[in-house]
Amino acid sequence: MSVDLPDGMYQRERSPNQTFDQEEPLYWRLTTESLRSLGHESGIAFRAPNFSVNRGKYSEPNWVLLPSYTDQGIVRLLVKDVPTKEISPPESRYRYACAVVHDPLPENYSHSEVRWLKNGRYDKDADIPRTVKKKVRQQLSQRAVVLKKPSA
Amino acid sequence: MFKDLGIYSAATLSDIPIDVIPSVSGSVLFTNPSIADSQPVEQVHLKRLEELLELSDGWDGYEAPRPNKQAISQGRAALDLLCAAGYPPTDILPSAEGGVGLVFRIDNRYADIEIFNDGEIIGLCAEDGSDPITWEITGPHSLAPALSKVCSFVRRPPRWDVSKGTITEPNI
Repeated sequence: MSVDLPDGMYQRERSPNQTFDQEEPLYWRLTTESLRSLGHESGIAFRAPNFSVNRGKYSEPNWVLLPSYTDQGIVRLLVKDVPTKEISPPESRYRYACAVVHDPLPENYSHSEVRWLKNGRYDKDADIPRTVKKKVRQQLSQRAVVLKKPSA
Repeated sequence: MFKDLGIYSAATLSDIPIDVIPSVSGSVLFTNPSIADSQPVEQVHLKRLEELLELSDGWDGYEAPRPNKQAISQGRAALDLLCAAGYPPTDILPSAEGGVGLVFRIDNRYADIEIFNDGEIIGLCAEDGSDPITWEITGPHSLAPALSKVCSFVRRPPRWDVSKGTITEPNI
């Protein structure tokens, strides 16, 4: 079922705002399989950065279900939950960390991304070692809070 | 953080009744007959693996690939080893990165073996409040030691050392 979007979701003339409060919530959807994984506080079914979220400053939690995902659940992280401490695997010359970036879409001003930084810089196509990604997925899963369970 | 995990001593091991049984791979496993009768649990996990094969791409509501047959097959091999030894995983989950994960959760300790669709395998051990440890599991003979490692970490007795017929202490 598709529903009309709230007026506040539209970007219109608004520019991105890269200032985040550490306590600001970040929301995204979850399915029954994702919920099962979080039930074990497991990062297995957790997406690795780069992934999309709605930032709470500009979004109600249930806006992540719009327009057509109303049977899915809602998960929340806080900005401070995103691991920004750099990880440097043994014998690697690269350092990896995560950052939250406001990346508005025309029909979702709150749209943001949790992105990988490699040596402090974002590269969408950067090759991130799976051991590093897995570590962060686990950390995120341990900090995620389920706000609404999926109904299907 | 993971150096002192109460690794099982020889005295502890001597308290555990041990039999030797052949594994599915033709090697030898040590097992505890009092807890090795995990047939119903194994059936549940086998059914779960079949379920995972039925998932569609995007099963997480985003872009997660479905587990492929290779990952399911490798998951089955790992499950056989674990169930034969009497230590089935807590659950089996689809991986958001494409693949399957055998997960273990006991109290504040968590471990998993994640098998990706391209055949790569990565292990993880985590304890609440500390940074997780991850490692690559490479080569055909490294799966059993990795399973032993995660089982030991979540405080289950180490199981197999197949080559010499001795029990290997975990070394996390």
